[in-house]
Amino acid sequence: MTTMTAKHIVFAGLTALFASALPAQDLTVVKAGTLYQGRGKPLLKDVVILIENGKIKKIDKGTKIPWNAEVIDASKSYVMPAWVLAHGSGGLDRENESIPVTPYLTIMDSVDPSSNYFETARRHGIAILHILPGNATQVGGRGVLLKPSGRTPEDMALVEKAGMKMSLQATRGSRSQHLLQIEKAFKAALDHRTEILRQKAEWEEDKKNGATTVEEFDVDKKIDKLKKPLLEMLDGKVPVYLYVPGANDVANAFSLIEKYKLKAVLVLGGDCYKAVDLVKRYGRRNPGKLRIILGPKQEVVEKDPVTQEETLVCPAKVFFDAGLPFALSSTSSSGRWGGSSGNPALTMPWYQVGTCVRHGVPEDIAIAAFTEIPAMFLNRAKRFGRLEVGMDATMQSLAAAPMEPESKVRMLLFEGQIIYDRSKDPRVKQLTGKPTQTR
Amino acid sequence: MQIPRFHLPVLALVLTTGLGLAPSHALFGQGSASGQDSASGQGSAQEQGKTEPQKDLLLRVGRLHVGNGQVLSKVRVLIQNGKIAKIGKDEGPLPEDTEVLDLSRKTLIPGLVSAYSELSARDVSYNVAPDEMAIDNFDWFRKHPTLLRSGLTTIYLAPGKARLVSGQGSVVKLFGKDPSTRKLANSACLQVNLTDAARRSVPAIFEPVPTPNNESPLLPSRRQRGSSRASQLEVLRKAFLEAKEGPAGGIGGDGPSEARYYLTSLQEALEGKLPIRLATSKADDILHGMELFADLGASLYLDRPTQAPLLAKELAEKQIPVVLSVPMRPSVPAAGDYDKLAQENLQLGPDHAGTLALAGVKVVLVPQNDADLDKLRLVAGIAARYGLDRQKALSAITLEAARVLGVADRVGSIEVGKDADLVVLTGEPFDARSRVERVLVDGALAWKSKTTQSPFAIRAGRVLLGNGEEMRNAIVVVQNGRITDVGPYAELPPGTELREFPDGVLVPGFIAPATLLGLHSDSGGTVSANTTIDVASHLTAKDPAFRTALENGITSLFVTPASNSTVGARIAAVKTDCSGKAFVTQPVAGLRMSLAGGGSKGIAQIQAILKKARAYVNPPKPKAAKKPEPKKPTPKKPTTTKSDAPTVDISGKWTAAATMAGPGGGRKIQIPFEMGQKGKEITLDLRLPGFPVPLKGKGTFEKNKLKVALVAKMGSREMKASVEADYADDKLTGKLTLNFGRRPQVIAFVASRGSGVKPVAKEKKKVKKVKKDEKLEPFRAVFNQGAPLVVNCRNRDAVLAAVEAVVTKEKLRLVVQGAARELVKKPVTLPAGAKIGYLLRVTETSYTEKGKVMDVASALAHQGFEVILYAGVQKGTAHLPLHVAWSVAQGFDARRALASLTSAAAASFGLQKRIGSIAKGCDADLVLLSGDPFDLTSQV
Repeated sequence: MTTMTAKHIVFAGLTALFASALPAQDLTVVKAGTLYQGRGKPLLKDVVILIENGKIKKIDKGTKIPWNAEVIDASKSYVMPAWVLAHGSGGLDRENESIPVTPYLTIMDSVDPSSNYFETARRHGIAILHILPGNATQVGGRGVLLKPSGRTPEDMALVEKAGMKMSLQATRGSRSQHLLQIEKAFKAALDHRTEILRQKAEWEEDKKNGATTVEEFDVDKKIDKLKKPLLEMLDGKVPVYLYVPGANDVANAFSLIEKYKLKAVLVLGGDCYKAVDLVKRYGRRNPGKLRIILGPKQEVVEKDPVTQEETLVCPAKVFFDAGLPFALSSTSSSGRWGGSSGNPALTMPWYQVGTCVRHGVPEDIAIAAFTEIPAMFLNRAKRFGRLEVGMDATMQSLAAAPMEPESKVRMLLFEGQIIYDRSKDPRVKQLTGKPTQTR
Repeated sequence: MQIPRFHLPVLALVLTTGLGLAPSHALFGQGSASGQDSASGQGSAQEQGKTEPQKDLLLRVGRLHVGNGQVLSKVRVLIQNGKIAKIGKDEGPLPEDTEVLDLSRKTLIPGLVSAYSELSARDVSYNVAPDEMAIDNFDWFRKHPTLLRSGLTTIYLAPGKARLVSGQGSVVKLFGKDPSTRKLANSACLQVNLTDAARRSVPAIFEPVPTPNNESPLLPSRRQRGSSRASQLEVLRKAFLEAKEGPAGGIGGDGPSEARYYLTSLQEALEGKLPIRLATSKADDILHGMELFADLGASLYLDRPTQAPLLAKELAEKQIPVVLSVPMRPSVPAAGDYDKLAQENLQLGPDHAGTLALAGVKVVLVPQNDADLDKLRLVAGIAARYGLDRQKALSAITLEAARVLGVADRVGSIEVGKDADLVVLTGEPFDARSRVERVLVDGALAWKSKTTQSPFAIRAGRVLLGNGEEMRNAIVVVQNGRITDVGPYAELPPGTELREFPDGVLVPGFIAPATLLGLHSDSGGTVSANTTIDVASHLTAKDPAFRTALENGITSLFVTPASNSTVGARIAAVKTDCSGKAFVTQPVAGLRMSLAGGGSKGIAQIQAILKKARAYVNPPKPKAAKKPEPKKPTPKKPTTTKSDAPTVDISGKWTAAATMAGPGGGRKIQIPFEMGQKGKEITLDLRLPGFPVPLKGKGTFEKNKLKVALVAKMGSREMKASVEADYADDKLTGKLTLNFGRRPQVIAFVASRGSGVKPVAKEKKKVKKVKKDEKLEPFRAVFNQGAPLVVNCRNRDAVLAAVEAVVTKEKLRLVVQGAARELVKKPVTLPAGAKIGYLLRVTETSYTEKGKVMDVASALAHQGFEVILYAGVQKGTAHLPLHVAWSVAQGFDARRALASLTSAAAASFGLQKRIGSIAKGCDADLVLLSGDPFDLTSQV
């Protein structure tokens, strides 16, 4: 399906949906007991957040609540920005194709809105997800930026064709073969374009000499549709989310990025923290270009080869100590994230943040690593990740401060609309036998 | 109606435009967390460290194997920036600003080079895979301590072993800061395997057809070519021909795109830039391979050819080097034996290296198996045993190996301009006893032997063991400060340095018992102290008198202050060599007591003390521990002055009952806490249920109001809390405020005394430990470590009483002191089998009575005492050996006299396993004398 027609259908569908589901209201007011706006801002007590058309218009203590505003009472809650997941592969019909180079695919076609994953995401306070193909690929296709609520993928999607997924995880052949195949795919695409351009030059020459009757030569149309997405990526129009499975792949990742001038976000899994010096040096070579998302496993056991002594390493702490900014990520509910174990705790952002804090990363940095930093990687720093006037009202209300044991998500708002309410969560009701206390 | 904005397609483009990332750094930069700032600071320091030149290092080397066969002795090697800058004679003054490493008793060889390893070998599914790079599968972050400590610093990585063309081999160092400096050659050779193994395991390729039909049916998986020698050669010829004719850097091969490869490496091989490493085994394979590559004009070397000796002449003529493995695996008995069949089939033998080298072939040696990579030196040694020249054997694992791998410009020999990859050995490289002491890579220490002191041995003409025995021409082996062996044929560990003293007399380090050395008071007088003082911690280690004592052969002292009370001072055993780490041998080596009278009264007196002490140290039942201990200070009582003493004592264990706010109306919890009190000051230790760390803090208790600020440390994070409570009716009512999160949490509680929770056995034990009674504490050593009670007896009866009470009844170690003359006049009978020490002051060794010289020492010894002589003074302890010599002059048996200075003294104080004799396991406190210990002209 082509994008444009799909979009039109979506509009029609959504318009109908919103008309029936929601009252025509622009104004929402959130009464926040405690408000955490983001790193570096003081904690506010008993404030009123005025939301107009999904944007925060005012944050104040004595704001008069307009008569026509819907009031969301979170006066006994802790309100903070919703979590932002910059790289994930959950909620998909299938994570990867069996063909390794598939830049022309869009994961949009694989998103399953009824997946448990999105429900879990809402329950854990994730309001923005960047869903990409899995790691078992070379060039996997385009990801989708979505909110975890909606009946159709189009309903959920914010950007249907977001970042391109690439992976250095050697699935077949060796590490060098894997790299070689990627480069071969790049070369094939670039050679193809060179050939088309050569044809165009030939046509121009012919036209000058009157040797051709063809009126038009559209390079864009002539280029193979299957190769086009790769060329867009190589031209730097599409950011690459490059999965790096281990420390020994880090150098290869950097050489690939530097050789093809890719606009890349690195997704560092496994023992990549061992190569922190390499990452640091790359960051110095390319100021302002280093973007790191860390894998969900924030506790790695390292064994000394001689003494067999085991130490617990927190990758986030290693990167923090090296002075490198990073975003955190969580795994999908099935536990499939670069072969990480199916530990359900790894699906929960607050657990990830808490693990980092436990290992000595300051709390505000750890929270920023799951809010404003991923928002920045997604080029949405001015819209979500923080709660400031002018930004989207995408927030969560918690029963207590995020690191408190009794803290849980009571409500999740996406652009001022409630997309999760714990008191109405059927699964929670089923588990506890009674509606949970909210607000 | 509002249309949600996020559906506008234009946003799709927004994402693809530049991602301004400067803010992300600003975010981290403005961090108030100091860790962030210091981290970035470190980063810049590291960067400076990189540009800053490495510190120069000068090695003074006794013997140096260059690697090319040359051996130098007494040279200096200067290392600058990780490279060898200068090699010269070891003479002239040493430069002041350079770090000098004295290796004048050591041997230096180049870092070893192994021309084969399968550390990153991997067989891909295509039979011709020249693009496969071994280095890509190498784990840079894995450490190789076992290889490094064998002296191996450079290693070849084979790309694979069971494909016809398995890829390009690489050469790396096993140690270094950065992968980029550790990489010696990305592409060192093109590995071609013309072997049975490669023929046997050719993989098949399955080529799926997208839409199978009659014209293009789905075919079974296709076997790749190269499963016989003929087809192998055919495939090779075809591939190289394609490379010769194809465009530079083009793509070659056939089949699916994954099976295709770049022609670059083959073309480089044809130009002679990239050598072909031909793995073969049989002579005909070798011959065919040689012919093929000679035709193609490629440079070639052979990888572990089994039947190479058959072609020794040809190989020498064509100057084709050979990488050979030695078919003997140290510590694996099954491999490489000689049998008739092996001879006939011309299997690999350990003599092949020698045979080939004799014919003029350049030989490089590698182990047969990756498991033997750490035994490379031994492997070369075996080849040398079977006919390879010694120097060529070393070269075969250093310079020749580096040459074959094409990295001889950086490693392989100790020559000016090369990398400073060096191995320090204790002896010759092929001496099995030689140990690796240090390994340097790029001038940086990659590995260092943990045995800081290399073992050494002393051979002396006479060795007096201290127990009266004597050995002639015996060896004493010392390792890590302990004696490991004694005897004429003592076992010398590898790397031992043997020193010969044919005229010397070796005796154990002397022990000076009951000395005051090191115990000076400021006023200059002697120090007296009671039982509670920990003598060992009061000793001043820098006392020059220790040095004097050491110069006179005294290595151990039993230091004790003057004391005359019934239960007296502690005795500490220390060494006179204060520079050593083990200065204090035993903090409580004994306990002094005094006994004025004898008879049943004396016995009872000692027994009463011991009973009390025993109850303290080894409480038989919980009840016994509760017995009143009269002098014990009770820690619970406030020890402050009366003026500011609070009205109540609130110290002890408490339990607070509280309700924790939360969903469902909250839950009831019990918070145990413990308080200590000192006047108004309160220390509080609180444990929140389910919280991993305790909350601790200090505060005040005034006018029945308690205020304490608490802190819990969790990693680097500090969490604060506070307690405020009022005291009434022996209850504390108040609130606990937790400032853990952003919102403080207040918990109201009512606390009452007691641990509240059922007391656990563990807690009980803890309580007992708290009641540490310094008065009875030394008895712990007496009961558990065999430290003696040193009883100063006023008369003979007291001696008898002490013997009766301590030895017969309590079965403890006893050392008696005093009443010497009475004992001489009227000997006592000691219980059979008991070893009772007798501390005899040197001034009492003899006396003259009625013109007759009485030899007190001998007399006591005859009665069964282990006589120990002591000086008992603060100054002059150093002359104890002379005093003992005097007692010998008075008739004391020389053997006993020596024992008194050594083994008897140690045994009486329960330290015979550490000091006082020359025996296995003892501390290596040795005195080498020029003559007999009691020859007054003997010198230490």
